[in-house]
Amino acid sequence: VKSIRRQLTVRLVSGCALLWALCGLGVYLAVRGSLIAEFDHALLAKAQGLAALTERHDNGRVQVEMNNQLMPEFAGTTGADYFELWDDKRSPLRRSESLGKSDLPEGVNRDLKMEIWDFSLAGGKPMRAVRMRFLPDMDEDDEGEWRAKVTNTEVSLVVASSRAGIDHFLGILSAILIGSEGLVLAGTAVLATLIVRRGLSPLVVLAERAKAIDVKAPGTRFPTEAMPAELLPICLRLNDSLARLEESFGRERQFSSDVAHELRTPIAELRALAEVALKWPDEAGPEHGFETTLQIALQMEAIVTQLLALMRCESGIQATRREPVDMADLIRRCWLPFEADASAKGLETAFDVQGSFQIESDPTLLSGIFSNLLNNAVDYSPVGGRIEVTLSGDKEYSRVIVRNSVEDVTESDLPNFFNRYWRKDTARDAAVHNGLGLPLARSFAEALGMRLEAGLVSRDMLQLTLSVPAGCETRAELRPGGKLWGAPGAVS
Amino acid sequence: VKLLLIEDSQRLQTSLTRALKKVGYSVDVSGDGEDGLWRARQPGYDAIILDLMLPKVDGLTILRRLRTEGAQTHILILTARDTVEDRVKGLASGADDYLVKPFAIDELLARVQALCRRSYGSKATDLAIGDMRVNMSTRTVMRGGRVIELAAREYRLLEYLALRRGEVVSRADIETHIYDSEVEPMSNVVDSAISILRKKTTPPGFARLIHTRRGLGYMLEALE
Repeated sequence: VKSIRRQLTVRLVSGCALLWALCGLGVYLAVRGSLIAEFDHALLAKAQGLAALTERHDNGRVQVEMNNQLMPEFAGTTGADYFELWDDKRSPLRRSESLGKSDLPEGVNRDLKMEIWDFSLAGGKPMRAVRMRFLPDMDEDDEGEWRAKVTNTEVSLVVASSRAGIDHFLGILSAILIGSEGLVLAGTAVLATLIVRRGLSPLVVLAERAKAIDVKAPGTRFPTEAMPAELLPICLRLNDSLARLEESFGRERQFSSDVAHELRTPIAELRALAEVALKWPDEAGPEHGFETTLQIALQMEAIVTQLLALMRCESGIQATRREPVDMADLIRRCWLPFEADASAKGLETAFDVQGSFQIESDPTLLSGIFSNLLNNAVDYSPVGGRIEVTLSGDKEYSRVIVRNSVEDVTESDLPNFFNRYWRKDTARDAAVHNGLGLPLARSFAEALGMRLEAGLVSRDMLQLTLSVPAGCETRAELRPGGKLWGAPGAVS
Repeated sequence: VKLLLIEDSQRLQTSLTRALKKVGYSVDVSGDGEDGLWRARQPGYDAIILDLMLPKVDGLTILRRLRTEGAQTHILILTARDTVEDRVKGLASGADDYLVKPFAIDELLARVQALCRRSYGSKATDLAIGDMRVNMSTRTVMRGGRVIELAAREYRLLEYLALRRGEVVSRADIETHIYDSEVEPMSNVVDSAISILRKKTTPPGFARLIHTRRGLGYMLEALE
């Protein structure tokens, strides 16, 4: 497995090593260059000095007018410097005493007027030499005829000095540079390891937290405090994803639990029905018929359908479409299935939804909301109660208000109205209501960008208000205070 | 043996009542908590089958009130709530047993039978009265090596007498526990049933086990 820390450390140390090596090399070359230039300069000065002392006499002889006191470095056999002078025919004219009987090399390229090069003496002594060709000056006492005769004859002079001192110094310099580079490199390795470890510690924390995440219970969150700016967006995004995952798992668990719980009673009914019918077939009554089985199946279907719709809404995956919907017409159509029940209970109904009121919304979800509100109004109104439905609007909102008579509903009950499975009465009353209607209606409303709220107008009159924001409207032809539509005996 | 079923689901009420009656229990039914609590306070029930989610008064409240009032009736909770917490809560509130919906009818009957046995201080399923044996798990009666064929109601009457063997059981007790509200006052249903049961349980050559105590009732016992 590749380790970022190891890779970073190795690359950092390698990079530093290369940098230090280049620096050392640079220093070495600069010092060496400077020393050689100075050495060459001194060598050249000596050569020029010797050239200045070289004269040609009237007899054609070339002489170097030097004495050992003036230039002691060439004197005796202990002198550190050497020179040798050749005529144009490469015959040695003069050599320094320090050279003894040996000859110096005449250079590498004799065509050059001047050249500097390194060589070694017979004993292996490292030397650096300069060779120059020049016309020696004439002796001032000589006649012009002779001067004219020999003027164009050049001589070649080679001056050499030992470079052992320079080489020794450069050797010491190299050793110092290599040694110090080794030490610096070791220090760099230690420092780089520490720095990389410290620098990557947030990543280690991140990795440990990530390792601790339980896929089934993603409650862990990544720390955001003291997290470097480069990792902070990752932590925030991961935390966001984990929160969504947790929420999603929670919803899934809730759904499974809800389905399991809500289906228990109808399944128990079905099972008991079947077992009793099988155990005592001769005594199976009419309640064991297909009608009862169908009722139970429909009830279970309604529970599952509503729970799935609720979960889709809460997960934000409920598909919605937008098309022109006439709310007044939709309310009237949603009321039709409940009209007979309302009449049977002797409910007084008052509808103020005349005219047309168009909005851009999803007709299926809207009718789901209206059906729930109207169904609840009919079922929970006491016999002889009253239902009022009003459609009104102002600049900010259009409102559908459904009011119905109630018994035994208090202000403290209102916050529970939109909780799943909440019923004023804890009885299952499963064939009629499963406690999912209002939560589903609110989820539908939120999916459509609307708001559904419950309130008490008086002790015995409940009000549910669907507020539609102004943006949803396409055309409003509402006639406030218009005539009532609906059941006989309606009042405004 | 008389039971009270407090369950708001009409369909479960019907199925359970039918099953319980078929095996010989006398069953009263209540569809809401208020009525259920009132009935549960009446004497004579050997066991109560109680749903938790009930209209008006919930099952746990009924349970707690009955226990607070000192009721000793055995209570079986029948509910859709299946978590450990729910079970613990139910049992801690005074329930004797807990059955989660959906359930098998046979399991419900077995648990009810166990509760009824406990009502009479008996843990054994096989009762011996002289040379007669009443097996409450197979609901069979044997005497002299032969099985005595009994109708469900007859078996339940014999089982009731067997559970109270050696005791004088009054006619009123029998009416309450075996015949619920079906018996007309002053009718001779009990006398007739006892007479038939006595004949069936006394094959030729065997001694009577059901004895009449005039003015008091009946007693099941093998006399020397």
